[in-house]
Amino acid sequence: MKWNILIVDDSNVVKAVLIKALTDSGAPINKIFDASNGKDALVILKSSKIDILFTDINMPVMNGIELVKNISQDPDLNGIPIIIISTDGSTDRMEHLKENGVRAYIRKPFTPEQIRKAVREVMLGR
Amino acid sequence: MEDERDLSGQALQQAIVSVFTAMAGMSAEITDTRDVPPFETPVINARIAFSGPCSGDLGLMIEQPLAELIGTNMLGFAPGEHLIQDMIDDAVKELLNVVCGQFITSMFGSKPVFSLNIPQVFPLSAPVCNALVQSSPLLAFRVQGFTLLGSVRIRKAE
Repeated sequence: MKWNILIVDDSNVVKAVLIKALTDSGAPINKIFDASNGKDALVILKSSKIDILFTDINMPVMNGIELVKNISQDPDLNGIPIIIISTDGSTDRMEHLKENGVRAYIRKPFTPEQIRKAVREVMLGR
Repeated sequence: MEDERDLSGQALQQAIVSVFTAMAGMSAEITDTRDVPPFETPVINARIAFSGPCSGDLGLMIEQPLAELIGTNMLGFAPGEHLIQDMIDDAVKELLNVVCGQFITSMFGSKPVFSLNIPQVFPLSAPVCNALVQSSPLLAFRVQGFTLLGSVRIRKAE
């Protein structure tokens, strides 16, 4: 089975770098969707089947924390694995997000190997 | 007060050096602001504000050709490959965003929760930039033969 991936970040540079890391990782990708904020991401999540979600925290309109909260409260969405990619290094915030269903937290700047490792752990359990 | 300024300057210096290496593959070397040659063309001024247990803001002033190199390197483009200005600005904003995250952790530790505003970029004329070099406490770096200026302001929580 190939995965539909959603990337949520207001930086087109980050999206481009992340798409390259994902395509180079060998992950079985069907389609990569992208959004620039949490509000647009929710529209995609409600209209397409997404297998894994990468999101930034610091975004305009709706930030990543609100997006995670919305997903965790929606029974149709709350099983989607979420990986946070953020500059935020607060351990308290990381713990809070993990309590709300976030499966992995990658701090920027990230390496392609960190992306590969997180995808393996979250999607394949290894 | 001076000690705190020294501490924040050191934290910003470390963050800039580390992030330039990790994200843009570039070495940023600290230099004295008195050795900075006068700017002759407008620079890109990027700013980000943060708030939490205290608030403040960070700024980077980057010469346009250096900003183009940063964008090219971050995206893995070939040298000389054309980048539109939006992508260059986007690269500079993302770089500053990451610098700010590292600065906050270095300065305040990993326990407190801070919120970062969305970074902003705008051009700054050469005369204004030259005046700031003379009058403001800035950190100066040389990167790939270009000048980079950094600034930090911290305000105590009320």
